[in-house]
Amino acid sequence: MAQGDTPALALELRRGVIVLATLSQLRLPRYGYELRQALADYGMAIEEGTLYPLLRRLETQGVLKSEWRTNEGSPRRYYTLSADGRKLFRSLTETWHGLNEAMDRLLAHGGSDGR
Amino acid sequence: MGDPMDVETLIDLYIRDVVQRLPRKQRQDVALELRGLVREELELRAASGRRTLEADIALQGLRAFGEPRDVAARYCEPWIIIPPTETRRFTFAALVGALVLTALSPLIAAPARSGQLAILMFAWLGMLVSYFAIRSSLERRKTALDLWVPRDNDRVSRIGSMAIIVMIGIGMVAYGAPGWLFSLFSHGGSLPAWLAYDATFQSTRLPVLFLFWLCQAVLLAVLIIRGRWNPLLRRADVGLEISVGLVLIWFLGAGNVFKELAPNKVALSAISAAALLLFIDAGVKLYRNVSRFAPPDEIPSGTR
Repeated sequence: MAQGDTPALALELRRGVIVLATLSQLRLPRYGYELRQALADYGMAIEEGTLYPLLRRLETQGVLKSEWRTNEGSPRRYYTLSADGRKLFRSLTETWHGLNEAMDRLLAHGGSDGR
Repeated sequence: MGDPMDVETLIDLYIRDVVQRLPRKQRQDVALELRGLVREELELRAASGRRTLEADIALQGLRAFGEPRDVAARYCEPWIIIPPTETRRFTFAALVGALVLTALSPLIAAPARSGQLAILMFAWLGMLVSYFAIRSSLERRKTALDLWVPRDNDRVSRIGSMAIIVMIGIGMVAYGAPGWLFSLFSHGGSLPAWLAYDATFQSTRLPVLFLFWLCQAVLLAVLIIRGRWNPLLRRADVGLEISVGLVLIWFLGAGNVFKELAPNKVALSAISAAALLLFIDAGVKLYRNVSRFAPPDEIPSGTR
């Protein structure tokens, strides 16, 4: 495999967890910028051009619900998990833990080259 | 170069470039939300550089936000007209159509040949794109709950085959004895003189077409009895289809269909279109038969 493929594959790996990371921070209502800051504080910096459209897509799919609030000056759209979103979050969390354990085992026993 | 733009203009232009690529009903809402978010991002960028928000920082920040078309694409579920798995099929169909049209081009009157051929090729490509767009649009409506349904391609639709036999019968009566049919439906009226066949066409060429139609009816009857296709029947089907296409090509070159000029011209156009469709259909069937995967006993032992 070409060495140049590594950043693209790492990006793809990261892309897979963006939805779960986003859902994890939306148990309480947050607006886009606030959410991005919260994710960055935990070490998961997501580009603005990726995160904001993602929120809209998740809302269209019924995973998130949103409302406009104007209590702090300019109007902001706050997102939070819907009932379906909470179910999805639980399911994805379980999947994540399962994958994480499986990968730990795989890398510990088959990854002697990984150092 | 014109006057430098201010921050608000830059933000407005960026938002406009994003939302104009979105469905109309989303535009206003996304624009309102995005404007607030973009402004906060830009202000943070300026503050982190200990500066006030000015045009140069705004431009850098907006560029970092992403190309408007990429950002817009992330807002929607993308609609792909020709999915990667269909690209090969699309290309093949486009090429077969182009080859058949080129092969049939000598039938077009010489002065307008190249222009007509180009129009026909574009029309064929347009038809293909429309077909794939409709298919892709229907696929998009499927949800995760729509389960895969197995389709047995070798199973024959007996009702469909019977319907085609009936259509062949009707076609033979309609083309073979149009005067009688007209008289039957018009309570004794007679067919207009301008619809009279050319005598040679009626006595020598039309019966050949009927002979092949009869063979196709027999093939369909065999299929109704057997209930399934097999390689031999598939080869016979394609062979008959190509034969009928060749008979039609012969009609085009051998002389008049009708005595009168105007109906003759219409008939020759219809025959050209029918021949084209037959060759394309035969090409697709041949491709499908060739591209079917081999059953286990035909796989070379070295690859098992």
